[in-house]
Amino acid sequence: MGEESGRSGPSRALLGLAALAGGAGSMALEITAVRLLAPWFGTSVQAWTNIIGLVLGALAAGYLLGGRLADRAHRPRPGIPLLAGGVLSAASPLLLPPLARLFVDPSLPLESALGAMAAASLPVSALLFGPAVFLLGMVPPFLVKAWAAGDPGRVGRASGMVYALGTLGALAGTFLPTWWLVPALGSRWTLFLSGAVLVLAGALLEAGSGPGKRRRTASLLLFLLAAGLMAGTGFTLPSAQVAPRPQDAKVLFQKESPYQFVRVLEKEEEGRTWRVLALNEGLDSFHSVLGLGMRGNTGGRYYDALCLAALLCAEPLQKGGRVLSIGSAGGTCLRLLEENFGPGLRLEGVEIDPACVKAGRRFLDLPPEAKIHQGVDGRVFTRCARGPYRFIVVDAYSSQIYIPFQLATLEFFREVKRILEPGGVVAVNVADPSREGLLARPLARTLAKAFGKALLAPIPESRNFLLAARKGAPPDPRRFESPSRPPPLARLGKALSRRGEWTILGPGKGPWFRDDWCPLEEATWKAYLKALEEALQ
Amino acid sequence: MRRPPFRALLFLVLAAGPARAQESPEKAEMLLYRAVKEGLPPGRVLEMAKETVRRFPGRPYPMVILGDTLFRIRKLGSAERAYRKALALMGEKGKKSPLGEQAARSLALLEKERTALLEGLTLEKKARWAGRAVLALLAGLILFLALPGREE
Repeated sequence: MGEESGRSGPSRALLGLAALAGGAGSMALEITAVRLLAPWFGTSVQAWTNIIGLVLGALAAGYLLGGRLADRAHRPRPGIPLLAGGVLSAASPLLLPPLARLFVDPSLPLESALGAMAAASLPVSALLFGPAVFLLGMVPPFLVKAWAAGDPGRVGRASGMVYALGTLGALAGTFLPTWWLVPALGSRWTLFLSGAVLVLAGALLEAGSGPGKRRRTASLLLFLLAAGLMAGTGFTLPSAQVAPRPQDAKVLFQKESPYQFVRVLEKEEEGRTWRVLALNEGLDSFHSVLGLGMRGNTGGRYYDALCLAALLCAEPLQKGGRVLSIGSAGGTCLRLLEENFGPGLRLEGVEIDPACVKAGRRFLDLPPEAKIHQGVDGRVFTRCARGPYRFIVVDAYSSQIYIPFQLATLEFFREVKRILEPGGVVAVNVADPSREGLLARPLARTLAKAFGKALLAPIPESRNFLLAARKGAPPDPRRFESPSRPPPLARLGKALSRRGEWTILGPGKGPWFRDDWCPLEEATWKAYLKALEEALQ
Repeated sequence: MRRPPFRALLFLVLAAGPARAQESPEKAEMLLYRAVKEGLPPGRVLEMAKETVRRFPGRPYPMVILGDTLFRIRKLGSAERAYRKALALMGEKGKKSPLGEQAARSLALLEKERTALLEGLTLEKKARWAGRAVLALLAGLILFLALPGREE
């Protein structure tokens, strides 16, 4: 018996194309949804979980309804949910700003807004992407029925083929947005493009769904409607808001990199013009800073403390030496080290996101002679690096508040110790707003386990702690006031050298982090919740 | 993490009389700082701050702590009132001084921080309710669709 006997719907080639497009469209939507929401809600574990959970739930509901409708319909029409899903997917960037503004206040500081942002990613993604994914979930049961063409003996093969093609499409929908479409076109146009592919597949399916003048006219009208809506979306898209507008700040640079949404903002504060590198939702937090016309410090921000930790080295940095900044971003630490300890230093940085380095070189005075290892994870670099370095700064963050766990374990600090010269120092920045140091203390213990002793000092007027350790001897905080201290760091040095401001910790009792046990996210959240509790008491 | 021996020592020093422990303004300020950092009861911090301001007038830090503590223990509704009360306590009622202005600035900052936190909490509450509603709706839809229909 011929394969095509008894079939009057669309050809199998068209059905296969629809399965591919449906899989690619739903996966591209899921992957790009995280990127689209990132400037508003960040990319925290909670945001990812909410989006993935929502997509799975909407797909499940779509499969159920699609199955029911496919059973009832004499001739299922999978082109319609594809068309509608495509239009909704393309329109989602336009609907995001008004929805997100219900839950996001860009004027709030990070610790006040964290909880709301994590929770709000669920309802916003549900309203924004739920209907599109639900419609796309309805497609596979329709396709299975159309493929089997009423023969129960072919249902197994038909469903196998539809799911295999759908999964291959999903594969393309996973890789293309991350590695090519989002960095090249941005998340809005990626969603528009994936919507256009869905609309095209839906239209082709409708057009090829069989004879009948009325049916063809209806298909044509549907396609024209979808095409009109897509054209309207395409014209409006360039004016859609990508991220919350910062108050009183000018956007100098903006780019969606494969890792995050990168911006350089310029604002007036404390009678000076400041430039900051803000990632994703940003709010009041930033990853690099430059005060225009300011040399050697950043007005008491934590970068000054990290730079001050260079005084703990056995050999002064003024004599030269190799310096490494892990998580160098726009290069604030490297710039400060050069400004304070002279041009004799050999500056190196490790930054996973090349867009941050580009922004640093163009707008944040990242020293041109600094050699930045781009696109490399800090842990991978330390494992392969030869050293020896005199001073290493670890200031790596992802999703604003999380230190990547692989850069906070005993094994990592041992690798850092290996590439330090004798008497060399490592300084770590830890954002921990709790008074007790709920995150900073276990991290300091981990550092102490690798080096013997570690310095723990809260940085005045910030939510950060400075952690430092020296290879071969405990760090001596009295050096913060040594005569060799660069004048721009004098004030902070005096404050940090005071007894009672710092603690020298040994490995002691209590938790410490290792590669196979590192509940860093949990400790970070505890620290933020504790700070919130304290502030509201 | 709190260190009980230090706290006990601090209580002993306080019991012996803060005036004797405060030989210099720096030492007195350090003691006050530790008292705040160790989480001593606000009433006790308030007494210490008053004592320090009386003994070493003109130093901003104890004044700021005084106003801050008054504000925190919620005897006063706003930073403005806390500032006025702090000045009145120090016999500077009605006067405008850089010290008082610094205290007021610090209190205003504290109040701004509290307002932001409360606003954040309200937004979070709203988002959580919306999230719950969405989940309930989705679960209801799945259950409804998964249940056998009449035709079955």
